[in-house]
Amino acid sequence: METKIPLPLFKIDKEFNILEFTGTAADFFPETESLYQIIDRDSHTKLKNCLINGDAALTFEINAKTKQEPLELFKVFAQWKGSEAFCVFVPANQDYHLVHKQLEDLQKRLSETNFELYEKKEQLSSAMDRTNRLSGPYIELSDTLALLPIFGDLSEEKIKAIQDNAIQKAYDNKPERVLVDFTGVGVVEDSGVLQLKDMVLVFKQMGMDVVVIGLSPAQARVLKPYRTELELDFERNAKVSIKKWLVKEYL
Amino acid sequence: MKLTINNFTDALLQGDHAKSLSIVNKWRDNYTRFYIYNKLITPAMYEIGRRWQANEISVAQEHLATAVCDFVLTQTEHDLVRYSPAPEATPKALFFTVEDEHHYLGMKMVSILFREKQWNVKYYQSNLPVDHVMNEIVQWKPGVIGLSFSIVHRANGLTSYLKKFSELDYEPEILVGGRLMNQYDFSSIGPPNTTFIQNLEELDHWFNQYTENRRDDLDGDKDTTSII
Repeated sequence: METKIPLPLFKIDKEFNILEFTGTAADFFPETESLYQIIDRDSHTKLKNCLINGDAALTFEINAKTKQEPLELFKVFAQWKGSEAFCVFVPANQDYHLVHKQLEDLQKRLSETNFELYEKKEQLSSAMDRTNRLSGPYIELSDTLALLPIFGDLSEEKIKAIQDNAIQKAYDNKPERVLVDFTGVGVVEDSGVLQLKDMVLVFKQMGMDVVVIGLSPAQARVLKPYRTELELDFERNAKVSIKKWLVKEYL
Repeated sequence: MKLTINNFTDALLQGDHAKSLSIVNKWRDNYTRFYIYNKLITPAMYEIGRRWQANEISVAQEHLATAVCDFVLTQTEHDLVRYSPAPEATPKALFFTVEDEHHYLGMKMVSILFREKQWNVKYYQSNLPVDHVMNEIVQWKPGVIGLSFSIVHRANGLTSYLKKFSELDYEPEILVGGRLMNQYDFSSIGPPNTTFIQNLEELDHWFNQYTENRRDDLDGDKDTTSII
């Protein structure tokens, strides 16, 4: 057999005894008598199945023990000629290992990003909640008058976030009238209106009148269908209404 | 869409993230994580190993399937992240795969199952040098240390890990898992507090034992009692 072939090549018999091998084979693998001894124990069954039950010429992957590594992947090309077979062992490409390594790094990054995204989402929702809670401050104007300006879009979450504080403060101060100022409100959502209705009801049950001021035309349109349900007083703007109620109180 | 193990295996091998995930999500509607890991993911990965042995697929395809499976597992963990215990909360468990070991999915499933049971879990995937692991253990003092390995020629390495654990100044429970536990008997080499886990069912059994044995401690910690 030609021993100068630049790849590990073994000639074996039916029992997988090594009959001849190339110089490169000697460079790669420790010298043994049986092919089994250079194949990883977990790959023995595969070797047997492939070589015995396979076709005359076949290709398969196998893990082998080399001089350098306890486990290395090889692609084997084998061909039977009578009772002897030739097996060429081609080492799995280095590029492949590189790609494998990169794939692994990518995976690691993906799973980290996954958690980071989750954390950011949590941070964002707590920031949103905090913003909501801060966007409806209760302001005492006089003994009988309080102002509750709302900032941002009127949503269910927003009213839920501000109502506890507003109702508690109103209970402590007992004003006759609460002015809910819409000047700083953007979009009014339907669910927000329903929640607002609940809050207004609480104020009413505590004996306070609620007056909505500073509605924009667009907001007025959204609120119109709820007008009777809300049982609210509306005033044109903050200046007029504050003057009206304060003047009433001090004159 | 069919939801069988075979369909899942094929989806993994095709690198089809979306399909793999939606199959698992469908199972998730009716089954526990434990059941899915035990009855869907583990059999699928074993099937992939069998197909390589049968020369039906290449190692490259196997790696792709592993990557997709890893992605799917991470998604099943997602809703557990909400529960993030304080760094020193107990009970603590630390999991890792031995150096140069790329079969990490089993360990990952185990770590998620511990997390599901509200353990404080650290999980180190692939390729962590021994010294790093030991440093972490000495400082963090986990009550349970879990490791896994799947390649025969690393069995000797296992002995040296176990020896290092026996030199610790406290006695953690040690769990050793991995594919080889099915085929070889390692029970002679572990210190007395070592348990060899062959599959997820044995892990579940271990869990029940552990909770049983530690009930008094747990009651003490939580200020509850199991007597009444």
